[in-house]
Amino acid sequence: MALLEVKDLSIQFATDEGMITAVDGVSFNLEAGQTLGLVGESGSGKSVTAKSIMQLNAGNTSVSPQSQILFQTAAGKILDASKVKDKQDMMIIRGGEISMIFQEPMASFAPAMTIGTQMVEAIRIHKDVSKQEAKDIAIHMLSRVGISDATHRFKQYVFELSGGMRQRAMIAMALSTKPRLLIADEPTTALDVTIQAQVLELMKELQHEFGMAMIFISHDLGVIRQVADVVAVMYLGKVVEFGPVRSVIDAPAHPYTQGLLASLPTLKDFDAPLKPVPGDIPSPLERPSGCVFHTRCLKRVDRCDKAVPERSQLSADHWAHCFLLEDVA
Amino acid sequence: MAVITLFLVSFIVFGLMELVPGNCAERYVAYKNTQGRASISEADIRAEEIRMGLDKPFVVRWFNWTKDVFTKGYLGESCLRRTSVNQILQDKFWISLGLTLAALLVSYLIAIPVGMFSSTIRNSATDTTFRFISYLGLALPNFMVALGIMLFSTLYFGDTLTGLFSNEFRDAPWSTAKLLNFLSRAWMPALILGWSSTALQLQTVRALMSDENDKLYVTAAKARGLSGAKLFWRYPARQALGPVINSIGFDLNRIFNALPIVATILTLNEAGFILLESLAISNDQEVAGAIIFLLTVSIVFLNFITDVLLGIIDPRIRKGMI
Amino acid sequence: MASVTAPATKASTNKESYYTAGQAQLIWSRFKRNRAAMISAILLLFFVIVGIFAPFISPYAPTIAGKDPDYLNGAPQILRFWDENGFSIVPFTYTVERTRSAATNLRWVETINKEERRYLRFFVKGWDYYLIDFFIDLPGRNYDVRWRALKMDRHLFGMDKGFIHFFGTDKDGKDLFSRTVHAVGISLAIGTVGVILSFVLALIIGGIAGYFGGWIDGVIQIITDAVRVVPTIPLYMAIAAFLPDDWSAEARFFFISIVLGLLGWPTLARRIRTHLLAERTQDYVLAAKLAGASPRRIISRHLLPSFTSYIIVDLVITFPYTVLAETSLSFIGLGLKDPVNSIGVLLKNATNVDVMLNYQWQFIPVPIFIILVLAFVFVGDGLRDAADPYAQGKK
Repeated sequence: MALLEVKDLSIQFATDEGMITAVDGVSFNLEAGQTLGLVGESGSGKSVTAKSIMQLNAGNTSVSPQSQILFQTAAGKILDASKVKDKQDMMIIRGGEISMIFQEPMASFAPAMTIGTQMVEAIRIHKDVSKQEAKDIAIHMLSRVGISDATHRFKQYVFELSGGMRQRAMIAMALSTKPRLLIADEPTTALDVTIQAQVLELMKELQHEFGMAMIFISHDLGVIRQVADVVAVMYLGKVVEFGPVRSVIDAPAHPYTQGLLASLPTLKDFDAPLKPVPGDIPSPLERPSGCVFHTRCLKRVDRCDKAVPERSQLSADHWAHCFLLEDVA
Repeated sequence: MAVITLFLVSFIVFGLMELVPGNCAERYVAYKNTQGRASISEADIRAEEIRMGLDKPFVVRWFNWTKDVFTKGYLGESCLRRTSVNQILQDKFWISLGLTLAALLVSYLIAIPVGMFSSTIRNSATDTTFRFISYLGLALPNFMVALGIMLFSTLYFGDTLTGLFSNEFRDAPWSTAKLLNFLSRAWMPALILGWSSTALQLQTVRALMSDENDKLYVTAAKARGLSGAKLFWRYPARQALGPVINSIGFDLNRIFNALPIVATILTLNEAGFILLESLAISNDQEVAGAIIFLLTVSIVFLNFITDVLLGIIDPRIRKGMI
Repeated sequence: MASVTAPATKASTNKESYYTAGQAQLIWSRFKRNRAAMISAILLLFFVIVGIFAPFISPYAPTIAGKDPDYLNGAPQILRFWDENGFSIVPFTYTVERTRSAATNLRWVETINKEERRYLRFFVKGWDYYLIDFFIDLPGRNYDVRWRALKMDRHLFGMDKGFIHFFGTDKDGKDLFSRTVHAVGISLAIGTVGVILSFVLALIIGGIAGYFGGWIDGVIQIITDAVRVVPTIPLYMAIAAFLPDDWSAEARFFFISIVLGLLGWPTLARRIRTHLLAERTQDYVLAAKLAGASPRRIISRHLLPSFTSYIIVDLVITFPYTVLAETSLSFIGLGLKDPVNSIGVLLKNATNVDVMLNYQWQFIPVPIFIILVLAFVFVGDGLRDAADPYAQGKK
């Protein structure tokens, strides 16, 4: 089996206004060493999907019982991450074999503890090493991600580092336990473009070195194109299109993917007007009937608001959900 | 900084005492008059004013008073009793302060654990009960709690359970037995005095903990595999502690506000009652001013200590980032 | 927007109004959803109406003029519709007779005469009062300001003969119901004057500090900090104790409101300063400056409206503290005094062993007071949560 198999994942939030569906029947596979790009606007459920792999969603979240998140551990055991309760298994999915880095490194370090303290703490949770050994690992990781003078940085607080440095430290911390899967939740969005490129380069390098798989979440197809092998396009909690990054970008099948690609600025024609996907994401409380995208779709047909389109297989590993494709297939 | 605040406070207190109608000389002479002396004249008052130095301008008197306070710790002379204010207040002030600090301690010992516990069981029935209690903390001022307890103990025990000492110790010199007696009776006033700040602090701790729990660094720590007590104490609890420490000074202020009233109800003659007495009965503005100044000094001093403490627990303050 | 179609239209008009709603409307719509706060708000409104129309609602004058000489320290009376003598559509109570004779050792004894029914009547004629009575009594010479209108003598209810006392009477035979109703009004009035005064001070001081910033702000902050650390009740006691005893009740009332206002400003001033400091750097202020607007115009037309709602929230939150301060002070005898009715005064009268043991109904104002303050606290909290959407869901 693949390293990670997500099957029919549905997640709801209980709020004052009622139940909100954040993720609705999401399925995808991720092979070891591969990078999956999760693309979508804010509110599309990409972060919620990723967090559910590590059971990190807030207390008002409920994962529907038929959902499965199967993860193959280094020892060959298969865990359903959505149902793990056992402390040992929990350690595996939280920081042991799956690590996560967040959009805001500043906010993801505890403000009043040194970076070193937090790294040593994390390493010693997962590895049976002495404090000194853990410190050595931490300093080595810090210098590996390109932080100069790591011994000194080790003793500093997060507010004393620059933006790029913080994200590097965050990566160092996440990789210090040698995970087999790294979840990166918009890791470069908060950085400026030059540093963004550096960090992306570093992440790709480290991925090869450690041989890990990666789920890379971004709203930016441009970034996804650089790092991902396969891409899942999400809209309102559904994966509307899935496939190898090349074929999705060269031949987008779903009107939403087409819209996203069309909205990217091109370097060929400076005068071309930007073409945003029309309309706004509907409120999560007013989930559209039928195909969730029909309220904004430029190619909608009569039945779009009545029935949910089935999956249409475009090639062996490329599929999408749209009535227009059914007619073609 | 603290010194500047103290200077300003001394000015405010001294100034307000100055605004009060009538001055010490008038009052003293009038008081002597009630003791059976012949009727007073303008001249008597003038003579007394000069003797007391009241003829000098306000700023000079303020300066002299402040100088005495800061250099010698001398708080001036009582208007009516003709003795130094230090003499009059002495251990009454220390008992008041002790009682207040005890109340502060009791309220934090209750509020912090309960508030933290409450935040981990958000919106459960127990949590709602605690929240309601903390709202009562505002609507039910300390003196009403004191009244309620008195009403209750009068009805059921026939004893008001008031006073800081049992009768046999009231005028006895300090001894181990008296101290024990004090401790055995002081817990109830301490609890009543600390009531409001307990209730409000409970709410604060709960809100702070809930806030911190929702922050990304807690999620990030969970993602690294931290859980249970280690996660709780090293991450959200530690962060929430800062604002709690910061509020100690305000709570001391709150308890000082409650002290004179609660002391009256519970007839704690030794403590806050001295304030009421010197204010309402003897019209002694020197004593009153000194008491308020001393209370404020305690608060400023406590604020100073908490600032130092904050620097220790929060590196951002220590390194001058905030 | 081109593809927004039929099914979404209704929802989108709702949304449209949500997006275009002003700050006040947003706060109100969020506030409405908070059930505890809404109930409290209605209760509060009820208290305010009771306070304003206190003379109309109370059947008897809350002073010695309205006493019931036959019913001193009397227990609360309940209206009945029937007894062994039969049913009556109009509720009634019994006549209380007070007698003393040799048989009772010459002590006053109250007997209830069940044959003599007293019936409830509405809109009865009673003592004279002014529906609008605005009165400022300055101490000393004749600086008093009094403006009153609408002289009336009708009251909401009364009995055809004798008295009715829902809350019982005190030691002088004054009707506790009437006293409580008046006390609510007076405590609210003191709170209002105090809050308005501290608000004006806070607005001036906080406004200057916040708008100009820099060293002016620094100096004002130091002073604010100094005023804030002084414990207010002892300080107030120190001042109130020296008030001459011959001041009238109204003069004390006015004075107390002022002192409460004078001591209450630092917290509010700080909030206003913070608001201003945050808003001052916004682009729209810069735009107004570039367009040549004067500081006065910028403050009054641009900055203040941007957080009026927040200031109102702050005021509501401050209110119960002011009411509490008045109650505490009156309670220890340094605030209002008999014959003025305030909750503190009523409480003070109730605090003696005799009352505690024998006439517990004199504590009826206590739960009413608690409900009043709780209502304020809940409304204040509800408003704060509504004004600060980021605080939502954390409670």
